Amino acid sequence: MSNKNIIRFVSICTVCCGLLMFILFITMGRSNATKNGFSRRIPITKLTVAEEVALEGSNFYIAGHTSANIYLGNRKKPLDLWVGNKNLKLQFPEKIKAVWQSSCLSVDSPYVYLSDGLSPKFFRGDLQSLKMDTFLHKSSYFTTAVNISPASFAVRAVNTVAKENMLLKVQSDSPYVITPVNTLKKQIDGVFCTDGQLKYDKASNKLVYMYYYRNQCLVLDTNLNLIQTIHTIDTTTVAKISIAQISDQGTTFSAPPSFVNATVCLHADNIYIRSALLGDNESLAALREYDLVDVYSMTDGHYIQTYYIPMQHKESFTEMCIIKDKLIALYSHFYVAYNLKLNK
Amino acid sequence: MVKKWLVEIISLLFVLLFIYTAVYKILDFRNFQAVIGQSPMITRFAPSVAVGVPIAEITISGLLVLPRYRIIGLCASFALMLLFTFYIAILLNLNIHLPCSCGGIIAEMNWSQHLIFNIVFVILALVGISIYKQ
Repeated sequence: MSNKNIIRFVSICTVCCGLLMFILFITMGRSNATKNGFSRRIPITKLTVAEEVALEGSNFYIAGHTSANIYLGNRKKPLDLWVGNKNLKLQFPEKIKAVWQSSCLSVDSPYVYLSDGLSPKFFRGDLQSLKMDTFLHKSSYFTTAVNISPASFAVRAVNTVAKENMLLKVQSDSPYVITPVNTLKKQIDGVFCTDGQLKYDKASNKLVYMYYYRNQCLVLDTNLNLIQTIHTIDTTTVAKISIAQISDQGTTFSAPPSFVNATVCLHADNIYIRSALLGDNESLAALREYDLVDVYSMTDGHYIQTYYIPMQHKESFTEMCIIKDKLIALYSHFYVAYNLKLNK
Repeated sequence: MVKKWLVEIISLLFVLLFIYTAVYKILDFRNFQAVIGQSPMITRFAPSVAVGVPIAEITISGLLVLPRYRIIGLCASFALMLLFTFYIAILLNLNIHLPCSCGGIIAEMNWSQHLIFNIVFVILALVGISIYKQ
């Protein structure tokens, strides 16, 4: 090929490839491209930053908090507990296998717990000595665990016969594992479609299970009996996900899942949910600049109000908790405290 | 002589890359199809793309092996790698965190490394085309 032809080929090729990808890009499905069929209550309160705290590294999650401190765990260093940037080395009675990537720390002062669903094992220690001891010796395997008392955990496990998620209670006395009537309702595959977050509120002694892909939250008592189903304000009643069987055991998403609720936290009888969907009375620009948090009453399920939380460094937060009058939002490399009480 | 060898080496690299990743995709076809469906850009076309990409890779390898069609193979390699590169560039800018579905050790790279890897191969193809029987 002559140089002229090469240049011609390269430029035509570049333009065609670029154009093709650009067309794919502008025509791709976006979850908020069409109206979502609900409106948020006006006026929406925009929260202001009280403090930003940089963290060393990433992969953090909120393990718990006291009225003064926020405790963080790290998915890459499952045996370490952090208070801000201070690393608390937990001491274990046995050599812990480093493969415990699935394990999770939770703090409920004066105790700190480690739960690992793949072993399955539980450890408990106190925040002063940091010495951990095994407890809850008889447990089923689980994928999520939430501490509900010094002697019990609520866990989410996969029922291997029905291939569905279910909620169980693991406790130190017989019967060690309590299996109530399953409250997680299968819609598509039973595992992905029921995925969500489980949280416990000590003050009201209730558990909340928030679904990721449908507009529902379950309020449960500590024996995992359903008290109430709360509907979030959007209109996604059935999970919009598609699942592919990739092997005899394995399944995975075959299209991007359509998130409804991103994360949840509980405080003072209210449920705070970061929503992934935009209301019809909001601008698309709002979703690029703010994370949307809707507040519901845990007692009657009513929608109370919405907070706009400014995105930080173009990032949405992954988890949140509320300490006194501050909403703490966790991002990849830092966390930010926002003022919940407005000084007007 | 050096140029002839260089074209041989570049063609060989492309054949290795395409055959290696195509075989991985075919061996784990159901997974490959599901994973590319997770990309919002290809969801709608996932079944045809899942069949099309490995076929294109094998066909181009065939063209590169046959001396008569080598120049067409090099041009096609350039086009395919450019297409992948644009795709990755857009995904990186969208800030979407997706698994890579290239297959084998190629899939172990993160997206930024992947972008550089692809650009290197685009340049290799360009070098191959420009020195071919010059």
